[in-house]
Amino acid sequence: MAATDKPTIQVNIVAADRPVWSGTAVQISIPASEGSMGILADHEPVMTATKDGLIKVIQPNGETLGFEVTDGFISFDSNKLTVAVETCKDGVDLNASAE
Amino acid sequence: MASQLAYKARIASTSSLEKIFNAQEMIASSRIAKARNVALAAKPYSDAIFDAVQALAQHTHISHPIVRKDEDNPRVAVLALTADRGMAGAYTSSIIRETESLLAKLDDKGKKPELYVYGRRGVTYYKYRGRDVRGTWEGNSDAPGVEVAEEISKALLDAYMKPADEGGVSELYVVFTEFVNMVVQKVRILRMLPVEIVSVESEQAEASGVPEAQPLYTFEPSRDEVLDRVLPKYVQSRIHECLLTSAASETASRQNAMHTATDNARNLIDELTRKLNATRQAAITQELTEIIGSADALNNEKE
Repeated sequence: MAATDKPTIQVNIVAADRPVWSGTAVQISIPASEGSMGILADHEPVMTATKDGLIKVIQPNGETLGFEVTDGFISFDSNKLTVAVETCKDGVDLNASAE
Repeated sequence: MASQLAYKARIASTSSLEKIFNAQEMIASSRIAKARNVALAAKPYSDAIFDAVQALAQHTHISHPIVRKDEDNPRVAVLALTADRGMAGAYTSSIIRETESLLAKLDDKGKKPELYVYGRRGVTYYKYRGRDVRGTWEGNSDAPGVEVAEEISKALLDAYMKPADEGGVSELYVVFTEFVNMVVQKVRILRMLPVEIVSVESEQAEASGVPEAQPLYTFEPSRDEVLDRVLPKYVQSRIHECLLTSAASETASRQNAMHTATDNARNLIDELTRKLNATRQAAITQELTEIIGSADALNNEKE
């Protein structure tokens, strides 16, 4: 954890049949229904419908996780992000796959 | 008194039954842990949806048809959740009994109930009696996945969203079994649609004295579209919850039933063994009497 002074977001990703991942992140990008949407800490409270796509979670240590999701919605307030989707594949390390 | 052979045959068949019951009981108890895990794993999702619906309800006055339907339509849907397989004691029959009384009650109120059934046992029951059933689903009643919940909620929401003149329904009731604990399972009737949204805001305000500040959400793309997305999912996750608690109850009542059956088989074997021993002893006694009697007769002849 290099950047502890940076505000972080508590992320909780849940699929209909199981909790998928929870942890902290500095930035998240989400396939919102009107196009991709990036969320940083201290974003205003928002609730958005999402479509099929890839959720990218950038963790405080710089690692990026990718989750393939089907439709659902996200809600964000006071640096807590909840992603509720129909189905979700386990996170893959995008940095590792890019190398 | 029956012959020894007959007793032996009955003991043999009863003890093989006992083995089957015992195996069924063990299978059921191993499945309960699984059913409980599945139910726990689905909880975060339904919590997330519940929170979202709460947030939506506090923000806005919801006039979505899922929450309120302004039409005079006597047709209502009733969904009964039964088991796929038997050997679960009174599980299916108590659901059917409760469903029948609900149907009668709705009839009395001048409504026209339409029946939907999940689980092979319930389906066969109503088919055999020639009752008109609007929709049925079978399979996996002891481990219902998200797919089943999706299928059921889609069909029921379709029926609900249809206007009255096209055969739509105005309410949806679900008859299911609530898993209280391993010994107690309760049949419950739930009115699923229209959704009743209870605001927790007032309770919180009373408790703390100060109304809590609620985050002011922005909705994208629009409030109505988010509602359109979230409310059907809410219904689906509620139905999934019902399916899961029913599955756990089914497994628990199967375990109980099989436990009783094993005990009964053991008692029967004990009783039969006692009778077998008595018969054998009687035969031996009779044989001895005969030998002694005839030896006596021979001795008497010599003298």
